[in-house]
Amino acid sequence: MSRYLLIRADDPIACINDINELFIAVLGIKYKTLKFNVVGIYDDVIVIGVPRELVGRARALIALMDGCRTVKVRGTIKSARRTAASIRRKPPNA
Amino acid sequence: MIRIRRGFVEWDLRDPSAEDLLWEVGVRAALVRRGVVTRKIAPIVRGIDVGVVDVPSRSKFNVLVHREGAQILSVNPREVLTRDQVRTSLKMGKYVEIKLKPLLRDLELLAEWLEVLEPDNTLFATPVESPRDVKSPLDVESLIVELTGDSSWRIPFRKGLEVLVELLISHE
Repeated sequence: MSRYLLIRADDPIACINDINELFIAVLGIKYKTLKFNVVGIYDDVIVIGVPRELVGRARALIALMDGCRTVKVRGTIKSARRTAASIRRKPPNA
Repeated sequence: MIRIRRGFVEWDLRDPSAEDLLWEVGVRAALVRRGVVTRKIAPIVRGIDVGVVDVPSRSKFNVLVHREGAQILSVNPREVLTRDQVRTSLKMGKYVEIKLKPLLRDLELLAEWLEVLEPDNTLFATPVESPRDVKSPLDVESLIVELTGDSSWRIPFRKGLEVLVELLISHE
């Protein structure tokens, strides 16, 4: 069972890199069995899939990062994508 | 007895342009610095609507904790209080406000704080000086619970609005 975190980031690429780097800390030994699941990047919104029991730890990790925050949590990939598409914001100069 | 469950409080809002992002993460009221005007989030002015006193050092705490009108003691994150000091503040019915900004970069220090603080009278301020600073209260809550392994640390976040209203009512 996965949950999908929608993360709004000032700099999505930097945020993804940070998450990538620290995600082993969240997964622990499970990192061998689970893959870090980036569902997609919608302008400034990143969608990642996390096993349900690790949601708290993943959020704890996100709290440590500069310039990004969890704005929504969804139960299915479909609704996560739909919500991300509706809350995305294009960068002002694009 | 007041019970309000929905929404979170940012205890130190300094930049009104962060308002929309705060709203998005569920913040519904904020202690704002003088001159900060909000449109959606309920603004409560620090030091006017609610008594906030800055505590520059550990030794000053012992004096300020007894000061009348000081409802919130905003402590210096670099000077960790003692258990006794925190207990005194609890006994005096005062809240200890701790700023997360330097502490999130120094988890060792944050852990030291969490050893002495009490979930019942701790307020976590971000503070928000720009939209970049906005944190999701639920992310921060997860972090604190994760670090302590103690779910009673959800209280400061879940009861934020309740505490704020009580502070407003009891302010003279």
